[in-house]
Amino acid sequence: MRSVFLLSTALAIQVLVAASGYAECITGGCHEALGRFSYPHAPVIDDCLSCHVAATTGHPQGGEKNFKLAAEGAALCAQCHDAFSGEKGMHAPVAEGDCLACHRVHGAAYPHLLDFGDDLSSLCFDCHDKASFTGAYLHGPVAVGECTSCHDPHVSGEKSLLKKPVRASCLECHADFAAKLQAAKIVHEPVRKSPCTDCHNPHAAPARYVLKEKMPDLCWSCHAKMRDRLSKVRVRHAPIDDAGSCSNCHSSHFSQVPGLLPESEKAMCLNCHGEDQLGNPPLKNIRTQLLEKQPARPARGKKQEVAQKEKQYLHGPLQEGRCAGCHAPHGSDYFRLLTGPYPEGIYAPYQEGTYGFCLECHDKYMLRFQDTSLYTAFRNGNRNLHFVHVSDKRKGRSCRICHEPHASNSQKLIGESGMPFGDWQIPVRFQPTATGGSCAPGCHRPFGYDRDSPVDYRQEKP
Amino acid sequence: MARITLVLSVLVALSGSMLLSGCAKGPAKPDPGPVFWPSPPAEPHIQFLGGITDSVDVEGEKTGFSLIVTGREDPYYIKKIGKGSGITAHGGKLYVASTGFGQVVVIDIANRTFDYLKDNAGSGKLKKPVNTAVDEQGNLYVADTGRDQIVVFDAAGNYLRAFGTIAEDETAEARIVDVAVFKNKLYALDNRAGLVRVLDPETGRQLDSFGQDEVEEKNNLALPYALTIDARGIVYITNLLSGRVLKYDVDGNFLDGLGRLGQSFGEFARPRGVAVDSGGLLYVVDAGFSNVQVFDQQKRLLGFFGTPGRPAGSLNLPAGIAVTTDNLEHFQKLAAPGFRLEQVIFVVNQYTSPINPSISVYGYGSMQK
Repeated sequence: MRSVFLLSTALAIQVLVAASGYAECITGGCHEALGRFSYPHAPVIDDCLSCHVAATTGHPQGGEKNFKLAAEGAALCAQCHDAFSGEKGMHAPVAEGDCLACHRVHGAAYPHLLDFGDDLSSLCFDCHDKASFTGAYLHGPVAVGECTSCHDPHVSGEKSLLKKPVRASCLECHADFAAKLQAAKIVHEPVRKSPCTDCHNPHAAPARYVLKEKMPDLCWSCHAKMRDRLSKVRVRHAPIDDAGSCSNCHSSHFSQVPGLLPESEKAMCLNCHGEDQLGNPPLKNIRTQLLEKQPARPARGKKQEVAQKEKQYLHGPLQEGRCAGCHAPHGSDYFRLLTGPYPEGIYAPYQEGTYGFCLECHDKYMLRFQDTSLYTAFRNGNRNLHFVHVSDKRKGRSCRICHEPHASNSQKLIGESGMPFGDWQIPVRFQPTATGGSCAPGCHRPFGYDRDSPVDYRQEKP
Repeated sequence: MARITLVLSVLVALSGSMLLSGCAKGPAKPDPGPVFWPSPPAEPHIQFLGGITDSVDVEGEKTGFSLIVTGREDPYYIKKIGKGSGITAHGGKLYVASTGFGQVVVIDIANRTFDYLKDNAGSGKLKKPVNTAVDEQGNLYVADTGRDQIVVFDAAGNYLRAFGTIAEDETAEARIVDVAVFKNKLYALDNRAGLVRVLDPETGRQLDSFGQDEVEEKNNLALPYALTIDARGIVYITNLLSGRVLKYDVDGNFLDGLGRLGQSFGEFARPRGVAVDSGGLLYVVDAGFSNVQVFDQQKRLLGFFGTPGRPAGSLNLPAGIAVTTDNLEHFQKLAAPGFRLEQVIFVVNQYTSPINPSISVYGYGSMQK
């Protein structure tokens, strides 16, 4: 009984195949090659006549075409496949009905009747100029030829046949970026308002991160004023002209910190200015100026438990975590990238403007008058001792001789260890009192001063 | 035009009616509405709030009626300011020097009192008080050009002392036209010598003087009229001859100067009273233009107000000026809806008229968004 059933099924298949002509076309010794594709077109398997119709009788007849196509171009394909229409953008071969520009008709080595698998670059570059997809830096999908990970090969409502709007296309893969962007307090304006392709070339670019131009040139295209300013300044901050350029200090897309900094301003600056190795000669290690001296080495076997603390007094801007209060982070005409004039040498007699940088915040009249009751507490009676120090026409003492610019454990940022003077560090030995103070520096004999009861120096024995 | 009264304005404002109102003494005139500087559509910064001419404007109408004592109505004497000159705001009170009456009028806004100086008699009798100053203890210093002295009263108005022969050798000719107190020193403006004389307020002894030491002549005092000292110790002095406002510090160091004689913006015809607010804005009264020009610390002219030609708020030969944040809540009631006061400005008019009170009151502020 079972054998009777199998026989009847085999007969039925034979009848069907014979009816479609498949056996004759593929196995008849003429079109055998059409049966060897890894991915044959479905009709090739069982229905050649769905596309080919007999034009004459008595096939095969040598030297003549006995079949013709059931329809021409895309109309033939549309017999089975839905036609593409109604979209904004249509791939040119689709629009022209030239499906075979990309697809093989009978079968191919890869799915979708294509001669190429994941790497479609060879197929696409048949028409698209490869030069646009060549550069020092390639977008990942371009590098592996996965054009269709972003583009729809047939039709799309988006420009450039993108499957989704530009930002959505990008964020679909860059999901970690999308999550951080969502949570960011501050977003760079082009990221917020413009497509990613304003800055990035989605295919290939000469600059890192497939940027259309290298930084800072790319950044200058919007920040032209900064470009102009920095083209004139005496000193540019070195990172600008370093490989990472603007991105050495700025997070290009978003940040939790104003100025699009990747971390707090002070921490950011100390990344470079808080170590001993960077630069030639090495940059000053400001971190060591801010912190207490390293505690004594712990006894053997005991852990170092005390974290290094900042000194007791920080300069005002640093108390707020700001370095840019005094230093122009991009470039400056002044010493140490300061925001205003300050003498480079340790001696500079006061003249209007000489100490303009310090006097932007500190009382602008502090150094100007020999006598004052208003502009400084460093005075003996009304004798302005700042004036006394800085007004000497030959050796007016600059602020740094007595004051630390960043931090100190002494009031008024008076230097503790003193300013380097050759091999010697000039001590200040400042001792404040309620109405004045005293110092016993390396510069002169010990002197006291008192605002309320001025010291008569003539009465003091040298 | 009806007189503009502070009290009635308050009452009217409180009643939700017009801001400025004609009082019972004159025929009612149409309400001009809030008067602002600058004019609309510019963002307003100064509003004219009202004025004070006599005691009724502060205390309101009093009947003096008493059945218990006399069985009949006692007369209520209306006290006037007369021809005013300088004005000082201190501790919630206004001290107005009245050259016309030889008086100092003490106005307590919060307590709504208007009094003449209690001990203005005998040794304390004032002749021609032109300006006043008050120290931290409340002592009142009156520059009296009739006596050519500075007359001192305590906080209760009792006469304390007077000094005029400040330093016999050089100041016999002194003519003190304004006084100011900073910390424990008295700064007396001598318009005859063109000096600020720094005095011991107890003895009148001269400790220092300044005003004629600059190489550039334009930076020396030239017929100075008034001075004021800000909280930091910066002294601003108006000068009639040079048309400049000069800026010194209390130690006598010359700092800066602004203006000149002329008719353009930022120039002066007859600069008189001067005041500085806590934000550093400088107010300079000009009797020639009958206005007040306002400058910032960069010497930029920000605007002016009081210029004649408005239905209300015009000045008439103005002299002294005072700026204060005292009693702001009282004056806020006079402000236009949405106009938030930050300080109040008092300007003394030497001549009154139906539209010019003795003291014109302005509010400095901004319209709330």
